[in-house]
Amino acid sequence: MLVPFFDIDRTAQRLRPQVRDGLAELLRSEQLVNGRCARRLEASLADYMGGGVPVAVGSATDALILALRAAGIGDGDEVIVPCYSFFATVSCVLHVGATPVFVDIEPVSYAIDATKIEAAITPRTKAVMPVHLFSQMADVSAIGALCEAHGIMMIEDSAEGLGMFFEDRHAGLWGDMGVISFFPTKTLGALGDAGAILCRNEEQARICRMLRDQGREGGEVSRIAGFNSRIDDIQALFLDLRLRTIEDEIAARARLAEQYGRRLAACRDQVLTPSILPRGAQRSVFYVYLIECERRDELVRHLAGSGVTTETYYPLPLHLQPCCASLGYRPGSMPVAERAAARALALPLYPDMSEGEADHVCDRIIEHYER
Amino acid sequence: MNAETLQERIPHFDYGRTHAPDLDELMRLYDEVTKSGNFILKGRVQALEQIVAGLTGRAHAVATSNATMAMTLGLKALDIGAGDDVVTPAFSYTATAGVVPAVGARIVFCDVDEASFLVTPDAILAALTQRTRAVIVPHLFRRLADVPAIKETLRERSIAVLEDAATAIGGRFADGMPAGAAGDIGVVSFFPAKPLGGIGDGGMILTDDEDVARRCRSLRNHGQDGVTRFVHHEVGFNARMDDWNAAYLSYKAERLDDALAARREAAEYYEEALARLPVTLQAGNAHEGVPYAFVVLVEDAERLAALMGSRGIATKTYTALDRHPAYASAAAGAGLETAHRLAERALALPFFPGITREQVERVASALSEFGPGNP
Repeated sequence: MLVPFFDIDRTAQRLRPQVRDGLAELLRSEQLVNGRCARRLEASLADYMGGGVPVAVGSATDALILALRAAGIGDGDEVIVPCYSFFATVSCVLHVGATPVFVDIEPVSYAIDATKIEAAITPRTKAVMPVHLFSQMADVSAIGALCEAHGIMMIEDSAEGLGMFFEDRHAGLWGDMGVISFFPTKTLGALGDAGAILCRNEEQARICRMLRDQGREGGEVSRIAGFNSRIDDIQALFLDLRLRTIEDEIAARARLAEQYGRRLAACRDQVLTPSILPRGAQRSVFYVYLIECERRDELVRHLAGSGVTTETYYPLPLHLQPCCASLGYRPGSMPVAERAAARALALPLYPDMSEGEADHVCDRIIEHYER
Repeated sequence: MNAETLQERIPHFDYGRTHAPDLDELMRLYDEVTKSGNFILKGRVQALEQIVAGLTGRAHAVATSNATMAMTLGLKALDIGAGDDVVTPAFSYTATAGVVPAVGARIVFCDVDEASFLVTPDAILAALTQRTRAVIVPHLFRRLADVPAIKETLRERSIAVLEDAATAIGGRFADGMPAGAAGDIGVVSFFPAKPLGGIGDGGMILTDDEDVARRCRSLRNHGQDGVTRFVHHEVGFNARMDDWNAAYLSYKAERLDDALAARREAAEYYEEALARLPVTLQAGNAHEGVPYAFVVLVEDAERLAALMGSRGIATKTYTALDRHPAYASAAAGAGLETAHRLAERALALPFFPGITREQVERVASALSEFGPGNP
């Protein structure tokens, strides 16, 4: 049985009639980029999240860069980031000319260790950027309080946070700004690159809207130096349709995660299954099912040989990336992240996955450790 | 014409002509992409790169998220950055200026030719400084800038020529060289309204230099080398093309000749309809351009645009780039009087493949009615 890491065929076919109707209408409109469908998606997102002013852009990477620019962060500034995340978490800081300051993560959540942030704050610190990874949010309550006490911003890398709530407030709406990724494998994935900046007010949104469109504001004059980072309306159309039934998809993810957890208990000595830290009233989302395991690379090969595709999130922590060498962090400086990088493995998890496919994955893992 | 036709809005561009007929094909490609799970920088994108490399006669084509990013990556691949000057025209689309501060370099504006609206070798020479490392030369509206002549002019200097062929795929220089092939780096745009327009934004970098191509591939995908994921050798960007769009563009590329013929026909309609009006057209040259936009010079473009708008006719006007607040810190090589004059007078008329003779004549009537001397 082949189990791909990600598959969206069934969902795409379910949405097909509405996509076709929406596309027919879109093709008769006067804009195919950053037009009516983009506006509709932004409104739908605000509705779903219960607040915020979303600004749709070309990718979450761009969303992070534009958010930092809108926040006025640049040369001479420091941004505290976790050392375990997708590369965009650190590249956005480098892009705006600021200096990233790495802090280790905490086990279980893989989020920035809130207890280690204060020691990293300097007079040049402008913001802390917690990342909500895989299935749960960072400790936004503690981090937010710390930022407020020090007069610095909290900008959330909530790229993976669609559907995650802490105390009834959606991920990305806890700090000064947040982002959402619509990369195809995400909880709310498009069929190409797309993302959104989550602004907290209209003034931030106004700046972000200019930044994404050559610095223009309605006319053809560039008021500020900007970029081209716009969402294609065809992607916005698909996302808006998919968002309407996203809760069903989140529930399907939860069921599959529960099945994984239940079955993989059989090799609990070698496989650590994910769990949600009991921080308070939260709704987590199994965007990624990340296990930690003994002899991880052997398991990857065994699974691949059995037709099961996995992903390693992430094989190399950010402080050890080649392009970050000049920042001077040595191996051993971030022990929790470095340990996770050697042991972490993401199993296939997507709403269209069947119980039988999840069982197959578990069977192959259990048999590997029984040998 | 009946009363209804007189009132019907004429959009600046009509996707109903260029894209709406392709609904079935787009849905067929939707099925293909969602079944394959190949969404970004996969087989369909690679195939489009081959097609466009072939169309433009270049060794390497690197697909990007849009043409602005293609230009930005091109500049970065040439290591243009802080401390460098880049010459770019003051009468052009804003992105041809905006990409320069995006890589940390300084804009030096040059003027353009009055009759053709294009950058010339002399205009560039007048704008060169000790720190000039590159020049951006855009093809504009209906005509190709003389990139071969500009390259020749700069031959003895280490100044790269970035040919902005965003609007010009399918064009040819007098010696037969395709547009996009003359600069050290060429850029094409697949924005939906372009001659080869997709279902979303897109762009491509063209080069014959293997190192530049490799660098661009790394830069568009977070500095990864294309072999090992999650190891980042440089900062890079997220500037990738989607396979759905690439697949659709491949479909449209097969039909490019028809699209170009329709644009040439539309341009002929305008030439006939405007023959006796006191408007100035963009002068031609020895090169065969692609009619992307139809721009006329009138006495007061802003006033005319407002009046045309009141008749439901969507036009566009321009502001010289040195007057955009975003570029206030740019240098001006020499005077920019021509660029200023053109910007005040230039009016882009509704223009798209499939525009009817009736629509064109309505535009011409409105121009005539609202022209100089009329209230």
